[in-house]
This record gives sequence, C-alpha cells and structure tokens, in this order.
Amino acid sequence: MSPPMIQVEHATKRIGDKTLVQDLSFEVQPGEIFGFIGPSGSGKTSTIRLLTGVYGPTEGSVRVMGVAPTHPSRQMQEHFGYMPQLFVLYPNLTVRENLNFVAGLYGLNPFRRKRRIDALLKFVELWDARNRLAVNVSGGMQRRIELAAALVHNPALVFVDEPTAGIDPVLRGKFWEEFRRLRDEGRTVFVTTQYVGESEYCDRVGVIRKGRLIAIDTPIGLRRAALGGDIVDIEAELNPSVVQALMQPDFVTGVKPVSRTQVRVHVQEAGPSIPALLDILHDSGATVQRIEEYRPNFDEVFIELMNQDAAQRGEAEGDAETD
Amino acid sequence: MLSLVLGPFLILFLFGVGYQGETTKLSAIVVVPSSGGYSQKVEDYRKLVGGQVDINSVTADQNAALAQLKQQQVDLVVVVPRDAGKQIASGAQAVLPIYYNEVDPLRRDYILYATYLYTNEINKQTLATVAGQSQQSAGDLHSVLQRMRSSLSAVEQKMGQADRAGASQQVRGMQNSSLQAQLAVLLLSQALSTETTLVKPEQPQSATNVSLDRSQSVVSRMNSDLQSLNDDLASPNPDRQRVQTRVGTVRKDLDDLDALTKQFQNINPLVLAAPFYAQSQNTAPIKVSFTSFYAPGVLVLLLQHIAVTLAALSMVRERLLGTVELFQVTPIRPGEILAGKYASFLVFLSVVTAVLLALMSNELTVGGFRLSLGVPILGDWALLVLSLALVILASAGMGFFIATISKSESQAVQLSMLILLTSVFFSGFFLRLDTLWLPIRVLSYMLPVTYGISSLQAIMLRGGTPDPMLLAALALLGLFFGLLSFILFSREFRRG
Repeated sequence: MSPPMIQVEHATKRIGDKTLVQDLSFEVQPGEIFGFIGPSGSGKTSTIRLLTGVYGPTEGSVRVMGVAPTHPSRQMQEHFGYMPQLFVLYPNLTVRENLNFVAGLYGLNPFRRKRRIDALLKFVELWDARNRLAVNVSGGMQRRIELAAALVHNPALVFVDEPTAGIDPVLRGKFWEEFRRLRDEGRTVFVTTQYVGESEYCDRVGVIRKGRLIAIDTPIGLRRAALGGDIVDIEAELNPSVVQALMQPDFVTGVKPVSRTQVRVHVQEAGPSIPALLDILHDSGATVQRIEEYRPNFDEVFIELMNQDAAQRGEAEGDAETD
Repeated sequence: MLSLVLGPFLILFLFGVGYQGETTKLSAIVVVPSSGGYSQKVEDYRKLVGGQVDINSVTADQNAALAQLKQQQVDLVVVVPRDAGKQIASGAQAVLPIYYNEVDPLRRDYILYATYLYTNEINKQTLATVAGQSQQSAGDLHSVLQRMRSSLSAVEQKMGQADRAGASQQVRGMQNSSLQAQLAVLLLSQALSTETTLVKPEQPQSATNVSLDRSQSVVSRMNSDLQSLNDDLASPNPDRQRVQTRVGTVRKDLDDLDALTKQFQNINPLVLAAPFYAQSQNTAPIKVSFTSFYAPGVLVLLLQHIAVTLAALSMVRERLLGTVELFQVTPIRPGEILAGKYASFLVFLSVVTAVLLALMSNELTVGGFRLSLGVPILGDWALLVLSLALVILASAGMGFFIATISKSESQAVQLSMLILLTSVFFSGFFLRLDTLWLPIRVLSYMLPVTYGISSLQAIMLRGGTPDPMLLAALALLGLFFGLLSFILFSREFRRG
C-alpha cells in the first residue's frame, strides 16, 4: 500500500486561548475523495489550513506527501490545488484573466497555458462568460472560477473548502462528477462540506464537531455507526407473536413497531438479514406486503452522530445542531 | 480616526515648530583686488553690509569664488572693482559686479532686491566718508578764491587812489584767505585720497593726483607772491610798476588754482551721492519662469502621490480580498510578489511620467498648436530617467510600508493623503528647505519627493548633474522602504 497522502496525528491548533481544532488524527490515501463534514465553525477551514501549511499544529503532527506543509518546497506546492471558501480572486479582472493570473502563480508556461485554461473554462461552463469581469458574474459562477483556478495546474492533491455552497443542485452534481473524475485519474481530493447528503459521494468521511473529529468511516459505515446497524422496514399483517418472533435472532438488535401493519427492525447488516427475516415471517404465517432496507437520509445520520457526541459529553441535546 | 484628525494636526504643528518664517541670510563671497591695500578681513565687509547678507569669506580669486557659486555653496559673489577710486574721481559711477546663481524666481527677486538695498547702504557710507568731505572742501575753496579775486581788485583800486595803507590791509586779508585756500586744497587732496573699505586712492601718478599736487604748489607760490606784494607795499616808497606786476602774478596764481580745482567742484552730484551702482548678473543658464520652476516639483509630487497610493491600495486590497491566503498555498514567495508589484508600478508610472514630461516640455506641437508649458529640460535624459525611476521605486516602497500598517483601504488612503500634505509643506516644494528648523528637516529627508525635486531642478532647469549624494540617498531610502515592507509582508505571509 502506498504511503498516505495526508497523515495527521493528534494535531491540535490553538490561536491565543481559542482552540480551533483538537486532537485530530486521520489519514487520507492517494486517490480517494475524503470528505470533511461539520457544521459551520466546527473547524473545517482550520483543518484545511493545517493541511496546506498556513497553520502549523500547536501539538501533534501534520504530514502531507510525507513532509510538514509549514515548510513546503516549491515543487510540493506545485502539486497542491486549493479552492478557498470565499472568492479571493480579482473582481476587476475578467474570468479568463483571473485564471491566467493563477496559472502564473504556479509558473505555468505563458504560451502553453491557453489550451488548459480554455478546457477548464468549458468544463466549469464559463466559456461564454470568459470575458466578463469577475465582479459582474453570479456567486455560483465565482465558485466555478475558483474551482477552475484550483485545477489549472493539474494538481495531485486538491483541497476544496465548501465547493458547493451556494451552487444550484445541477452544478453541484457536476462538481462531484469532476471530483470523482479527478479521483479516477489517481488524484486525491480533500473536500469539506456542510451538505451532509454529499457525504455519499465521498470515499471516506470525517465528521467534525467543535474542533474534534467524532467519526471517520465510509458513508455506509458511518450510517451504521450512527444507527447501530441497518434498518429493515417490514409491512405485513402483524400480531404480537410475529413481533416476538422477529426479536429472536441474534442479528436483530431491536424491533420498533411503527403502526399496526408496519415494523422497523434494526439489524447488524441489511443484506443477509432480509432473507432470514422473510423466513421468520413466513414461519409465523404473516403475509408480507413489503420488506426492504430503510436508508435514512444523511441528515438524520449526521444529527444522530452529533446528538450521540453531545450526549457523551453531557451537553444538552439542542446544542448539537445549533452549534 | 487617529490618522484623520491627529495626522493633519501633527503636520501643522511640526510645520509651526519647524518653519522659521524669515528668509535666510544670503551667503556671499567678496572678491577684492589683491593689491591696493584692500582689507582681507571678513569683519570689515560685514560691518559694511550687516543684516541679511552673511559674508563667508574674502578672496582675491574671482574664478574660485564663481566656481563655488556654480556649486551653489554661496548665494552671491560681490566683486570689488580695482578702479573704483579713479572712476568716481573721473565723474563716473563705479560698477560693483554681483553674481548669483538662482533658478527660483522668488529667490531671484529677493536677491535683486537685496543687492539694491546693500548698494544703497554702501553708497551711503562711502558718501559719508568721501564725498561729504571732498565736496565741502571744494566748495570752501571756491568761495575763498572768489573772495581773494575781489580783494585783488580792491588792492589795484587803492593803489590807484594812492591809498597805500588800504592796499596793504587788503593784501594782509588776502594772505589770510590764501592760508585758508591752502588748507582747503590740502583737505581736498586728503579727502580724495581717503581710503574706505571699497574705495582705494589712485596710484600717485594719476592725473587727479598730479593736479592736486600742482594745486598745492600753486597755493604756496601764491603765498610767497602775496608776501612779496605785502613787502613791496610796506616799503616807504613802493614802485607802482612793480606792485602792478605782483598783482598780475597773484591773479594768475588764482586763475591757475581755479582751473586746477574746478574738476573737483564739477564732480556730478549723482556720482558723489551714489559712487557705486550694482550690476548684478545671474549665472544660472536660463531665466526660469514661475511655471517652469515649479514644474519639476509638481511632477515629482504627483508621481510620489500616485505611487504611494497605488502601492498601498494594491497591497491592502490583496489582503482584504483574501488573495494572500491563496498566495500562501501556491509556490509564489512574498519577495516575488513584491518584486512583481515594483516592476508593474515602474512600468505603469514610467508611462504616466513620459506623458507628463511630454506635456510639460516644449517639444510637443500638434498641428501648429503648442500643447505644452514649455518647461525646459536642459540636462541629461539618462539622469532624468534615473532620478524619476528612483523616485517611483522609493515611493512605491513607501506605499507598501503604509499598506502593512493599514487595516483598511480608507486607512491607507488617509495615510497617503497625510504623506502628500507632509510633502507639500516639508519637501522644499514651496518653501526652501533651509527655511525649516534643522530637526524638522529630518522629516523632509524621509520623503522621496525632497530628493526628487532637488535632482529634477538641477537636471531640468540648470542642465547640470544632481548631487550624487542626493541620488544615493534616494536609492537608500528606496532600499530602506523596500526592505521594511519585505520584512513586514513576509511576516504577514508567514505560516504557523
């Protein structure tokens, strides 16, 4: 296995007496999309700053491509792409001029960068707006300029800070498509987002709350961790003996009747459980109208994770989301 | 808020403290003839003028003095003429050449006024010591001779009436008058050979001195003639024929004396009242108009202001936009960003400068219309370009420095305006630097415009070379601001 692209061990960053992130530990492998999810102010941007070397960790260590990013070589920085959370380019330059400027920052050959910029402009659908001033384009277009700027030099490692904030769903989909394409080319994408649903597009997800990483897993693993396994929804003629029978197997962790004809069964893993549950229902003589895995959306998963963490820390439940 | 209210107040305060209000003394070198007993002591000449002219030194070497004037080490060179005495004695005003080297029209007028004033002062003193005495003596002599003539006629009349005693009495009176005349001639001769600081008597062989000497001998001959006449009249039986001859001799003596002293009585009163008149000459290559004199200052002031404001704003904006955050992640380094900004401002402001210079100078005519102010550019273009480039770089550095201490765009603009205000007061744009109190001048020397104005005036208006120290200091100032901004910007850029 190739060495991790990003390796963070017990990293804490404090500025003054304010702790931005605390005891972060995670690894990002080359060629994966790593999502970082958390409410605003939870430390997502601070984490990116730690990874890009803008911040140095107060404690612990951060290694990107094997070195501490606070003292990066030019070569290493040429492999970084960075899309900041806010529009930081020049409002009084045109879309194309801005991209040209960023290409200059990375030292791209002035005579060869044109084709690359043209291709990017088309990709982010700014070709028609290429000669408009950045100040005159919509917020969504500005985000697209930033994305193009982050990709202008073909980086191996792309940091994207909330790329999809304020962007319409169609374009959001396109963004994720591009991230996956980058991933498929062997590049590594580190992306933060507030949209919990987008964690599904990631290979692995870290959930951050109040500067601490409370879970790292694949999206499916995360859901299981939040809900204690999968959920199977059953619609059938129910009576207490049927419910009793459903509770019997070891793989069933809980049974919650929803109505007279519907029950929600918590299992360790939905795949192999459904045939077994069907057998049990059949044996108890119940007529099954519908049996399927219930996938709560990620908002629920996220809220659950937050609440669990808050409960663990003995905070009032309401805090978890509003924070 | 602080810079908005406190800043302008502070500038005015420093100006109030620093500006000494009065025009500085004009420094001068006096060139005196090496021979002829002219004083070499500075004090003697200081006594003569006092007041606003400060006499640095007295020398016999006019060329050395003019060389110092050329290097602007002194304001005036006053040349004492060798033949002032002769000129005045011959009834002409003596020319007192005064050289100055000035492009500032205000200062030029001040010098002209000052020379007029001091020539009057010198004249007054010269008049007091020379003219006063000599013309009075000449006047006395004239009336004495007149009296003696009538007495001589009286002697002849008395002799005709055989009034021997009466004639003898007249002759005795004439003897008294003759003594008076002798005294007057002596006084006159002494007066005309009186030494003053600026006027030295002529050499002994000059015509004036010869006639003065002859006058004295004529007076003594007349004395002895009168004595003989007196002796003849005193004898018991005077020979009428002999007395007649004696009277003729005395009359001739009187005629001679009259002729000899006439030239002294005829000295033009104007010359006596103002024996000197100043003939001042500006050694600056051209007479500079007010517009032309202020043009280099305006150009440099404008350049500095644009450079400071643009540089400050560009840097502050970079920070406010958040571009710095992007820079931190890219391979670019703070030094490269600064270098890029310097280069772009240099190019941009060079174009601005070229346009301004073209509009100012007298080399642009479009369709027969002169689109310029006709400001001369006498000097070397390479030096002009070098000076302007240094001004631009130093000013941009100053702007970057302002940016590093400003938190917002409006603060940067305010600070730039304060620098503009300071420059107007302290750069020597309107007020000569030497009218400012020395400690306050430190402020002047912190401004690129101070050096820029001096060098541009030297190059454009004098066609000369600016003091290399000036350009070196400007380069040093630029380096100082550049380095300071680099350190502060790098700190802002620093990670961790």
